[in-house]
Amino acid sequence: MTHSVPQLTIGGVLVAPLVIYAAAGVAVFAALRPLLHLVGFNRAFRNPAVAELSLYVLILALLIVLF
Amino acid sequence: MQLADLILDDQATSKIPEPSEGVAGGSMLYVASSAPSKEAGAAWERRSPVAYTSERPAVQPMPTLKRPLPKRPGRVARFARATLKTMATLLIVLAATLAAVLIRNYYIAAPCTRDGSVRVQVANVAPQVSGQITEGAERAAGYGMALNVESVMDGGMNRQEALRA
Repeated sequence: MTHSVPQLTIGGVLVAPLVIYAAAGVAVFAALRPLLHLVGFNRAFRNPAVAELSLYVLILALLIVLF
Repeated sequence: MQLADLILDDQATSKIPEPSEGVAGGSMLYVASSAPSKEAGAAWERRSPVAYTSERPAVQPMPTLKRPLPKRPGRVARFARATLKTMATLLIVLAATLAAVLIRNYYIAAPCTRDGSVRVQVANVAPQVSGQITEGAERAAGYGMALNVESVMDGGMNRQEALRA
């Protein structure tokens, strides 16, 4: 429950840490995507889009809990 | 008669305009073509079944028998695979829902208003007289602070004292 992510300030406006986490999650997911394609992630699910969204939410929660 | 049928089949598959002498009048397709002589028709009849029988078993039955068999799994296997896919999707959606609830609880417990970032000024105002606030309570509750007490019922003889803080 402690924030170790520094406070992001854009032009004097304080940005919520969730935005930083979301951006980091997008970066992690983009890096992970070719690997998922290699493994055959999309073939293992009935609705690959929903599965990818769920995976992104899981990554986001992991980032928030760990950092 | 059998040879004429074979020729008609051959004409239907390979488009060689070669009418036979027995059914030339019945077929409407070859009216405009020049009618060959009976010798030419007989020569064609003698030649055609050989090519016909040598051609057909080599081309047709092999692909129809061999191709669909390996890539078509059994009904049970397909059902199991589809069920597994659905279960995996439902499982990951459930995990994501739990993760979303976790994120929400995290931000409810530790919102991003911390010291120095957002200054919230709460003025604690207690009326000096006992009574029930009947007006101005909604505004005070909406801002999270009680700044203005407009009327105090039941013993509000000294309103200035209540507004003093």
